[in-house]
Amino acid sequence: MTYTVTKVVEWGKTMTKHAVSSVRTTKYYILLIVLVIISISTIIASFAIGYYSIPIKDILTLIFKGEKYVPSNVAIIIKRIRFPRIIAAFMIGAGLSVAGASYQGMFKNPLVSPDILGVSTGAGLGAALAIILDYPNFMIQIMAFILGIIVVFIAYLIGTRTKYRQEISLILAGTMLGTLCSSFITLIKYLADPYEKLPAITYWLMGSLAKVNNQALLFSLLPMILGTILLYLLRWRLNILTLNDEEAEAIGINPKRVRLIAIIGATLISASSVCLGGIIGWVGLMIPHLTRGLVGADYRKSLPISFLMGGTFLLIMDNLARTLYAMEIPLGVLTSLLGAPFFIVLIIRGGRQ
Amino acid sequence: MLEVKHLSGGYGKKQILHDISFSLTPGTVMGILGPNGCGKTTLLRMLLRTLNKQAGVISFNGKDIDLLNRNELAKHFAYIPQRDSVAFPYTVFEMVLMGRTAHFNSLSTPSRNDIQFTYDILEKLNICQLADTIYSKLSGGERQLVLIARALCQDTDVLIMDEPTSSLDYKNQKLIIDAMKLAAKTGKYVLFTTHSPSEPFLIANQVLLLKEGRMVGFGSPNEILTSATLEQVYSIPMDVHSITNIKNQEIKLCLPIY
Repeated sequence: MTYTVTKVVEWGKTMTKHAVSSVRTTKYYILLIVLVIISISTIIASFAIGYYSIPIKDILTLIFKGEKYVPSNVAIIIKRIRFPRIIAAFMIGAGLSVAGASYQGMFKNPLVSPDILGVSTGAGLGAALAIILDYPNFMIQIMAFILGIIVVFIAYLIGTRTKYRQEISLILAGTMLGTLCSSFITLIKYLADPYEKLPAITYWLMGSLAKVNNQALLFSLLPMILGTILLYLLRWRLNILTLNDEEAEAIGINPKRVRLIAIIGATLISASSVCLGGIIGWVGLMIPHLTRGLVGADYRKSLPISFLMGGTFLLIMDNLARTLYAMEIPLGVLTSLLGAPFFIVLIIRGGRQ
Repeated sequence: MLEVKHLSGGYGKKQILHDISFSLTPGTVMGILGPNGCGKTTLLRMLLRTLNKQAGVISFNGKDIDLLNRNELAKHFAYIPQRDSVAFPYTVFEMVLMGRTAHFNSLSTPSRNDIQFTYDILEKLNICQLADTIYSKLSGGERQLVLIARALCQDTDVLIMDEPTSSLDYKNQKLIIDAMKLAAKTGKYVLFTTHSPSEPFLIANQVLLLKEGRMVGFGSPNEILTSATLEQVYSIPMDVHSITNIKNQEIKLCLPIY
């Protein structure tokens, strides 16, 4: 029953050669390249689709030769109408997926979406307030952005009052504040003028990219890119954050600080997404799931893949929203129609495992 | 030298551990024994500084660990939890690679050297074949080995293990014990908690006996683990048997008398 040590080795001294890049890594790079190609071609193709169809030839001419070589009305449609909308759709989908992936990891829960801390309902309340106060369009966006951030900030302050298991109290605080905001929204809708304000609020909350213009895009793009870069820089630490806080600390990170930075990044993305396109659900929940299925949980791989898949997915959805029917279908409705069945499948599959 | 002097601590205002002192030399394997709630895990937490102490000093090679930041501390102390907390499909390799985190800049990712180091650790523990397996699909024993690999990957001086052999079958227990011995042979300090008083005789050269947060004894297993002290700690009569196994090796067994 005595155990003898058969092998005595000095740790780290013997450095034998290994095949460092495994099959998984190669697979990842192939997928990445394929997705980059798909994303770019979807973006280009999206310029052609719409009420006024534009031949691909014209689009390529405009990109590579300049606008002088295409008819002026085509150039205007491409630059002023389709460009902001297409970039917004892609960036919102990409950003929400990255934010969702980060939140799922740090809350250790694959069913969490980017609005878990109340950013969307907060922004919705901001927009509803701005609409009922008769503010101009850009103020609606600013109010949405600011209130979204304020709600997350309050949720963070409440959630981090507890010393242990902060993830749970953060989720609870966020959900409660979200409920609070949606009751205020309902109250505002109830009090709003039913002929003008009520439809405006309702329409805003449905989520749509119909009103995106270059000015709105410029305002939202900066925080979105900033948030995405922040989360990308944290990609390795996000892996550690999926462990419980005690293990993460022992591994050498400060989980509370990393979590705060990740929340800031994800909130910048979600708040600017909401103020651009209203509440567009499900993307941030679905895409990270599909990504994990393809490349695994490691954020070094899953963040770039989520970005590309989410962007392409929402862009296709928005193309459908504006072409499927004579009247535009709200984008938020379309993603929910796809998202809810996806969620059900997820639950059933999870139950089987 | 790992030194603990007059350490006290607990949760909030509640004090659980009172005046714990011991010192260890490199290559020591120390078993921490005591009934449920005696403060074993609390002690581990204070050593890892995931729980703040109320009084006393913990020093490593003469330096107070309070003066180290998280990152530096993680280069000295590694933790092997009893239960893991993985909600996502990480591969074994990715799990073990996480141990390298303290060795690179906070915004960068593991380098080629970190990856090489990780492969070497997997090889030394003989679990290379598991590298691409999803961690959460492993058996309990394999998981424990992976967590040990992660801690070894952290390249620390001290390994802190919370009940490493509990809930494992005999074969897996042997694997874990071999890994612990291997670590001690290379000059690491190995601290572990256990509920089996016979276990320290197999692996440990030091034992810390706790009851209700106070030290009952500290020393070699033979000198500390006697039926008198064990009865005092566990509050039931205990026998310490010395027997010879079929390989003619002398072993000690602690058995309660019901």
